[in-house]
Amino acid sequence: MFALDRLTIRRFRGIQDLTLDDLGRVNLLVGPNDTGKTSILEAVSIFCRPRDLRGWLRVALLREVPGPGEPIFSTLEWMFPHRRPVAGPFVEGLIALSGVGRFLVREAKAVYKPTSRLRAVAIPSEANGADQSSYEEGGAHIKFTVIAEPSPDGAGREAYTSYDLWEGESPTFLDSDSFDQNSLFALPVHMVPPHRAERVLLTEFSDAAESGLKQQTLSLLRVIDRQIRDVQILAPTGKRPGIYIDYGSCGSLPLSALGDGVRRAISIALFLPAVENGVLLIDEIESSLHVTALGSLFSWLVKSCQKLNVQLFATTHSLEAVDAMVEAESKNLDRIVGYHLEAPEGVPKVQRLDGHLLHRLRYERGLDVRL
Amino acid sequence: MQYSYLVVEGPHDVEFIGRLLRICGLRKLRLIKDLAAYWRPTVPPSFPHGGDLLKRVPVPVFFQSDTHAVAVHSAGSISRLAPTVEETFAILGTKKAEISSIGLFLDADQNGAHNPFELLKAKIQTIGLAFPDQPGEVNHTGVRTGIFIFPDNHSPGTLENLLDDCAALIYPELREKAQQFTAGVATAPLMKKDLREFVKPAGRMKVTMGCIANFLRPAKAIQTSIADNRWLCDDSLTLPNIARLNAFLKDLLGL
Repeated sequence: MFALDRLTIRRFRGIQDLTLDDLGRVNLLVGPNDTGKTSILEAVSIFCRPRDLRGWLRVALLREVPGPGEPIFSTLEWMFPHRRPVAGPFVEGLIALSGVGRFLVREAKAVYKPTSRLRAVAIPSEANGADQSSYEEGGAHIKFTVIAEPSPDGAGREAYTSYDLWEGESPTFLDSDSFDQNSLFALPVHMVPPHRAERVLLTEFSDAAESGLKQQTLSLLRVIDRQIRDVQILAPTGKRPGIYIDYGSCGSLPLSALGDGVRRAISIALFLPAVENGVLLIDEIESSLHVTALGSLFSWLVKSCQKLNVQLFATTHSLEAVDAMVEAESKNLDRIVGYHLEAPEGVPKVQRLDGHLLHRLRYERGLDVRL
Repeated sequence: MQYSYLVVEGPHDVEFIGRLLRICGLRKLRLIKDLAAYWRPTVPPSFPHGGDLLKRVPVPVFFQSDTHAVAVHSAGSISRLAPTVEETFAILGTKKAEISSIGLFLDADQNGAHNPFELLKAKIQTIGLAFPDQPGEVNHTGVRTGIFIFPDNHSPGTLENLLDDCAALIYPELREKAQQFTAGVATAPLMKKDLREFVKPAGRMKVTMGCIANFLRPAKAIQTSIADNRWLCDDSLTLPNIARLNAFLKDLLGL
């Protein structure tokens, strides 16, 4: 049993109703643009941390940045489906996710409702010292409902969390947002975005080292760039501690000095231990990586996922990436599942391709599974 | 446009079915720009797939008219018939719902049509397709489906039995001489591996048909002769086994 064996997504971004059945250790999402591949990754991320407002915001901010003067929570609004064309102001949205698997959450719902209030402000006045005035402040009410598998004695297990978010205030996160490894309602999850090299945190590197994964991480990095000799935390005089790469004849270089491919690989490698027994999400897995490195990278990645009991979801636009993943797992095709997304008339639909069928489609027939 | 998908065992079956389609007014497509967009996903985008320079590109042969677009696909073997349909359905995605008809064509075994039919039907049903209970019949509920077992949905034999019927009518002297040659060759001096194909149940018939085809189109494969010569023509369409196959094909495709 995997963390997630099945996931149903209803009313999330452009997805109306879509089910991923019989999920595997490695789940590859393929298909044309605008068919919902990244939305699925976002939905998985949210389902794993369904009442974690920080997690919702982190996912929303990977896709869009609020405009000048716009509150951060406004990015959440677009996760809730809007009628097209937009005929008026957004009134209320409901997202419903449900799943089956080792993760015991069965249903996760979120309701988002824009709201407003009159906010009083004091205006300095010569006569009275200060006059009271007010303005209309925009906000949102968001409510999360999470239902888990009943306990062995049959008792229901549900949790509710709600927030009132206002333009002029930073969100106050509740204790339930703190990730608890033992929480019934949270699963370790991390999403690696495409293109933009992610800032690698010292804590992730320290965790990887503690988990004995430093050598594995180094092996992976040498697949990407043979000149990498070591990775370490250094605190040069006058600078804050940071991750440095011992790089061939150049000596120690800050991670930021290396290319996107290395930074992305190290990001993937370092976040793996953090999601042990959970889920790793990689958007556009081939991004920033040269085609010749894909085979070794995927082979390493799948072995590591197996070792750490991590379930992997990845999107790709690359046939080379599909081939490299299938080839890396050619002796364990049961571990791989392909999901082909298409959106006839704008409605995303999915077709499951088991690893054996995916292998035949590529290696017997040579067909383009991305169309 | 009606889209039909026919899967056969080998390339000579493709040409035989293709010749019947051409007689019905469909044209064989050469250029990809003429191909209906519907069938585009079934064309491999690159060669060689899997790095095998010697492997034949696994692309269907397409026939088209103003109303019908038919893909005739060589699976390579009986065991690949059902997987080939499964793969093509997977690559068509939601467009598979638009398909009008699906036909499968294969040879009988030494005991007749029953076993190959039942074996194939069991395999094809696992991918969610309903086929008629008897070979040679067409299911008209929903997608039209049917399985034709060469030569006549009953007797032992292969496509070569149909070619032999045609040769007896169209090329009687060539057929007689080819039969004499095949029967007259002393096999004793030949090595076992030389005779590997000849000693198979349909081997002698295949050699005879190959001799005729090679006389008609020297140094060419038998499928070239099937496509270019008169094996299938107005006269041979009246032969009982050919008429049966032609009627099945027309019923299946709605021609």
